[in-house]
Amino acid sequence: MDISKEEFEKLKEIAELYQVIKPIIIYSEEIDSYSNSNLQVIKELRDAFDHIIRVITIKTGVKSNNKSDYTMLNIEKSIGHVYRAGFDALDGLVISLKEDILEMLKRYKSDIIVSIIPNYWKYRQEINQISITTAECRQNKDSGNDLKVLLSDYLKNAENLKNIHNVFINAMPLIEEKNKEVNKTKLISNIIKFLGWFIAIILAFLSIKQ
Amino acid sequence: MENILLTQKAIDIIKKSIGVNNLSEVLDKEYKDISEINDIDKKRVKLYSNKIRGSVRLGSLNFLTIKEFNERADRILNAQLP
Repeated sequence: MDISKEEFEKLKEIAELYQVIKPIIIYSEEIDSYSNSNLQVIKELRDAFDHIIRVITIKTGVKSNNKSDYTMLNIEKSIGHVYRAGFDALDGLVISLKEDILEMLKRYKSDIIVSIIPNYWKYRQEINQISITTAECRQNKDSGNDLKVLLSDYLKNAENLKNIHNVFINAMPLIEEKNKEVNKTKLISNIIKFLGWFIAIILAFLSIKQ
Repeated sequence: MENILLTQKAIDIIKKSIGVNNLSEVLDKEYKDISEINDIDKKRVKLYSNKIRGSVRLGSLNFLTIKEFNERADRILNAQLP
């Protein structure tokens, strides 16, 4: 197979990129609450495969093509689709992690969470920021920005969210315990209040009767 | 390995259906886009699900359509923590 140095470097780039993207895709499917497959990722991988097959078809002599930039153009297109598969997998990953955090915390008031995780407000703000960045990234992933930089930033965001997710997972038993304790104290306080009112009413009734 | 060949009848049907004069043109033809406008119809997938030989997840409808995924993304990304 006749491959130029330039083509070889580009093929190496796609292989190296795929080493990063594939684990993200598998992990993203793994942590999806409903074990759903992400159609966008499947579609991007399908298109990446199609462009690579075009290259293989020409390079193995199954078909010929006179365009001088045909191979490079298709390798570059394939790289673009692998990047987009990565962005789509990261979208799914961030969404699943945030959904899981929302589900974990929905039963608890913020003061209870803060009593166990003193940095809760800082984490909450970071999660909000990651949500905004993700929404923006979903809009801009097809723009002419440097995909490597964009993917690298997006990966950092996802890693940061996973770290926060771990903090919440580890704190959940203590949050649940604290919640039970607060509810118990509230119940005792309500019973005392009720008894107080009850005794007051009885005493008032007796004093009126006398 | 012996080459797998399409019959002339199959070639004619495909050529007519996808609008090409020669099957060799297909190599550079793009696949159909999957987007909110050209979304997957789950009802149709369900109809053929017992005949799907590929992905079990897709065959058993364990996927979100593009519209469903976008709606989920909007809902989760806009949701506020307590």
